[in-house]
Amino acid sequence: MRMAWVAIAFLANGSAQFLQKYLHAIGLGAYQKTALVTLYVAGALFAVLLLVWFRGRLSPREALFGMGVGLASYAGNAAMLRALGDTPAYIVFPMAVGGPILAVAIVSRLLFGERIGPYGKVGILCGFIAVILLTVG
Amino acid sequence: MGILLCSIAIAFFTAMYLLLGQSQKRGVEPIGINLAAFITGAAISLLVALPVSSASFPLPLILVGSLIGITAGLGLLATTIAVRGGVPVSIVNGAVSLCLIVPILLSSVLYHEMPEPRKWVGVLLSGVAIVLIQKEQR
Repeated sequence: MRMAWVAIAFLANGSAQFLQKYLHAIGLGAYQKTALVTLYVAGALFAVLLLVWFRGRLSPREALFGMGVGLASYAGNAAMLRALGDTPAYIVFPMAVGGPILAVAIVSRLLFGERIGPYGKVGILCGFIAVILLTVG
Repeated sequence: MGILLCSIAIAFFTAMYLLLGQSQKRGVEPIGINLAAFITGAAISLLVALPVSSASFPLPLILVGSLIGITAGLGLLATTIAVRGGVPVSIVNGAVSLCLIVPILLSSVLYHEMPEPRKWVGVLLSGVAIVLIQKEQR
């Protein structure tokens, strides 16, 4: 049953990404700014339910981190949504989803001195080759 | 232009993940962060979209936009339940990250966005990179 929730997370997140592509496909690409408003308002309503259900906490610390995360999330989603207007999904999603994971591993090494083991090194190499294959030509 | 926008998305999503990582280290409640993030996103997106009128929100847009927010929220709910149920975070995060295959497959089937073989290798390698980097972070 626990793994069913992992499968639901996989499908729900994948569907959310596909729907961003769908928005352009049905001719609503010109409404990107207001699409983001509806997206975040609906997400906020869902987040309220989640907070109540799990008896979460929203103190000034959560609010402060949340504002930073919200700002970065908005800017990232706005750029990704716009990219989907003229760039195929098979380029946008591997870059926008895989790129940050690759970048976090590198930044964590450079800024926080976190050690990168053999799996991480091979992963970073694969990520770089993937970016080259997806973007060149 | 698309690659430039993807690079901008990478930069901001990287900042977002770094912030989330720092928040976890400080024991900040993720569900509270999530709500604050969505409210902030709603406020910023509304400010950027101004001036708005009812014509700015055609019904199909409200439906699809809301569906994106709800599916993203459902994904978050499922992630939270799975992690609280004892599934290792690295497995949950790996599954969530690899969901990129869903829009790629659906776009190739529905909109005939068929990657050439070299691009397929790129997609597969990005999946391998995600799995290996997250395995490292266990």
